[in-house]
Amino acid sequence: MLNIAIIDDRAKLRETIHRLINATIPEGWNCQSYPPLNDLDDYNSFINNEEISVLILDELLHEQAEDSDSHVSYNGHDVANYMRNFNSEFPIHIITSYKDNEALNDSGESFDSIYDRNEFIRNSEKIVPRLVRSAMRYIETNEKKLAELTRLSQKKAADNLTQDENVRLLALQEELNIKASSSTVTDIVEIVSNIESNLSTLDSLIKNINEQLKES
Amino acid sequence: MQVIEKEVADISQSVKRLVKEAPELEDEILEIVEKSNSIRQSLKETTKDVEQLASQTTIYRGLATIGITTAVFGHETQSSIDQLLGSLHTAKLLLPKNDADVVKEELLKAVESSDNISAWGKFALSRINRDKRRKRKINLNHTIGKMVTDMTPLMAASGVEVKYKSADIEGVYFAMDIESIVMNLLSNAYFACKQKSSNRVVEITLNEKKIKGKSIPLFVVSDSGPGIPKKMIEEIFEPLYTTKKDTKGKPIGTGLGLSIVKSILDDMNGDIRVDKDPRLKGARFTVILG
Repeated sequence: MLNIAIIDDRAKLRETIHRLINATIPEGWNCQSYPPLNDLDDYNSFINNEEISVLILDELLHEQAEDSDSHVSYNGHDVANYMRNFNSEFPIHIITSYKDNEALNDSGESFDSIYDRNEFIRNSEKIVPRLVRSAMRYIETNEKKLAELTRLSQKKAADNLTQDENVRLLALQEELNIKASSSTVTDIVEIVSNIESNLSTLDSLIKNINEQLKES
Repeated sequence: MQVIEKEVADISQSVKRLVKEAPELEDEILEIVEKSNSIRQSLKETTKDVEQLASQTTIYRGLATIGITTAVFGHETQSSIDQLLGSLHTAKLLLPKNDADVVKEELLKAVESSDNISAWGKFALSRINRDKRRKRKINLNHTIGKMVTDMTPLMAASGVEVKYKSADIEGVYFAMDIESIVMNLLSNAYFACKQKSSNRVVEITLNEKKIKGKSIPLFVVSDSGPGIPKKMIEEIFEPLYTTKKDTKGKPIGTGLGLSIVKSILDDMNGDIRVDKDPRLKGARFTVILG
């Protein structure tokens, strides 16, 4: 199941938009709605843990809280700016009643689109498939990149990487936000050499067993 | 003005009586009486003009205040419009899927939202009611209490708790001026509370204080916001000075609210003071109505 997440501080409106999207979403997709997370730092792990493929953010996130102690101090575009530190291509869309907002427009590169809330509600049957398509494009590109990363990492582990391939590997690690990129490759090399070492130990063990069998 | 008019009328009567005592001065005396009547007529017209001007100023201040309040609470109204539209469209999409319970829930939300929008419309319209533009005896508790009741749901939508305590106090005021004071102070308190992520509280009290043996109405609005830095206290009543800023620190207020409050209080020989509320830790505005 592929997931769309809506983040909105207004519980009733969040539930309505959630129902609206689920009424128009293609098969194989699911929409979930959430109140704003306590901290911006929580968003990256939230997206990974909940397996979110597209994020829809309300712009004004600090108007209403789930309880009296949980008003957040950031807006939708702050989440988008934060997420771009980790992933430059993850599909992020903003819904707002005030498109003419300087702070929001200044962050325009951090998200894929801004939708006027009324426009989103009135045209949800057209907009939701568009959001799904943006997520599909992201997933396909990501899958291709992951496959290429795996192939190049394996070659690196086998010490069989050309200089150009090494440059490409580093670029992919950067794009896919594999922060511990060098250690990842080091780990792979270490694992392979451990396996090789274990295989040679196994070989000599087999030889020893065979010799002992012959002697007996 | 009425006192001067009475004095002139008394002088006119006294001068008329002099005709009997000094008939030789009748022509001069009648001329003085005629001039007195002319002064009285001018005074009447000036009084009418001043009252009209006061009423106009009251209306300007009242209308400016409605504008400021609309800007501050505009998001709440827009949210109700979004909810109404969203619920109706969702209900329309879900109706063919026979999900009756969810459709019913969304329709109830739509009704609630339309009530909120209607309440805001009534709120704005009732502020400019003709009766409120005349200076007359009003019950301050009724006038202020009604404002607080009308504004409480708007504030509650952003988790701001409103507490109101009052005594029944009467006085002669333009109701529209009193409402402008309340609206501006509550809008500021609401905005201040929203700067805090928790404990959003506004407290309003109305009571009387004896000043020089006279009972004066005292109206206090306290909030749990960040408070007003001491160095800004002198400036906040200046026209166009605003402490309201967006998340990037850009000024977003009109800077008119408190200068309107100050202007009203100056006209009624009242006063306004600001300090830190010892309990709520935010700003505390104390209004002494003249």
